[in-house]
Amino acid sequence: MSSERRTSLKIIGTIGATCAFPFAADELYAQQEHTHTEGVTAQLPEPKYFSKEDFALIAKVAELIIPATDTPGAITAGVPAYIDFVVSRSEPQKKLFTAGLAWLKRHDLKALEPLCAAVDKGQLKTPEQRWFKAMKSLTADGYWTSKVGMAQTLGYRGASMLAEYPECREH
Amino acid sequence: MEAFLHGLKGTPLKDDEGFLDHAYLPSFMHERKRDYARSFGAQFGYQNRRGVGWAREIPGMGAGYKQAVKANYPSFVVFSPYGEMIPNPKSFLDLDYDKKDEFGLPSARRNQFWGPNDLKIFADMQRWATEILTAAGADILQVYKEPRPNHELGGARMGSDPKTSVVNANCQTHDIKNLFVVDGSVFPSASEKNPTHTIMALAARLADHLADRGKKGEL
Repeated sequence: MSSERRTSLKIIGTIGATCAFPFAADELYAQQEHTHTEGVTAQLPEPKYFSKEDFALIAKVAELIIPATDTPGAITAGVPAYIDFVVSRSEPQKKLFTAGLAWLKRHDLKALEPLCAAVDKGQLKTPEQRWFKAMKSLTADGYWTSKVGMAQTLGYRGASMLAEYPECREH
Repeated sequence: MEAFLHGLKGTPLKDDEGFLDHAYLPSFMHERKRDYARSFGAQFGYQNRRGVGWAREIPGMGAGYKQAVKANYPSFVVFSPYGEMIPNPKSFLDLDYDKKDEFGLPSARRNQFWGPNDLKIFADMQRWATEILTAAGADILQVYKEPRPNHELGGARMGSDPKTSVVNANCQTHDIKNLFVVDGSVFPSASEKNPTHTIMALAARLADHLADRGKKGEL
């Protein structure tokens, strides 16, 4: 672990322990962004299906789709391992990801933004468009059903009792 | 139907599903002019915070995407009308001899068809649900294109004519004297609301009837 990462963790720890959140999300985001690349390689478990190199690439893409902001992103939520697991058990997904990885290795990661925009418009003609659709769906499913996604980012606390039943005054 | 209600976007999250799984809008069409028999009610606002499957469809990627999902999360609502399926002679259950269970017995096969009345109710459900959600201020995400069956009812329906029904008013089969059917299969139509209470009432009524007949030595 680098000394910068140690420092940023210490700052985050202090925030959590002592006071209400004093920083804007952007400030904290910048601190986490600082160790972003290191996080990709350091936090990943052993892949079941992908090669280590491909797995790290998939993890980077997942983190670009759902990055760490004021709450953790896709990697901390365990999304890469979820994608690895789902793809390992599905032949159609394997085909999509083989095509996607080939495209990724030929392009800069910045090319993901226009690819995402095309898929948002409903374009699913090219292999990389079909792969990105699957990639985003798996990232979304993996993240928003994780404890990090549901509890930390969305604030879901489970079903809780209402102590009061305030009347609707509008009607 | 699934939608995001404008008024709830970006509001503080309320995890209030525990006290009430959903709200219910009772049947209201039976008092209005319409071109079909029976009516429908609607269940809405249930399990809204438990699944985020819609997050796949939110456009974009990165911090903006993440924020958009978060902003929409408190406003997601499911609005589901439930209608009554009237008796349809085309629908039936039979045995599938090609598909046997672990004991080597043929499995039950459901042959279920939507009748013209069901499809008219469904079209009106779509119309009303769209109108209600639009009036409430909503982005409609999805309108279901086809009706879906919910509770499994019928198959041994109650009736006075042995040619068109399986059991009589006492849930006793027309064909076999001492055979009684005591579950949702005796329903002639599939109710718009959950059928458990009616099934329980029929069971209690049958138990009373059997005790009475038993005492008289008629069973």
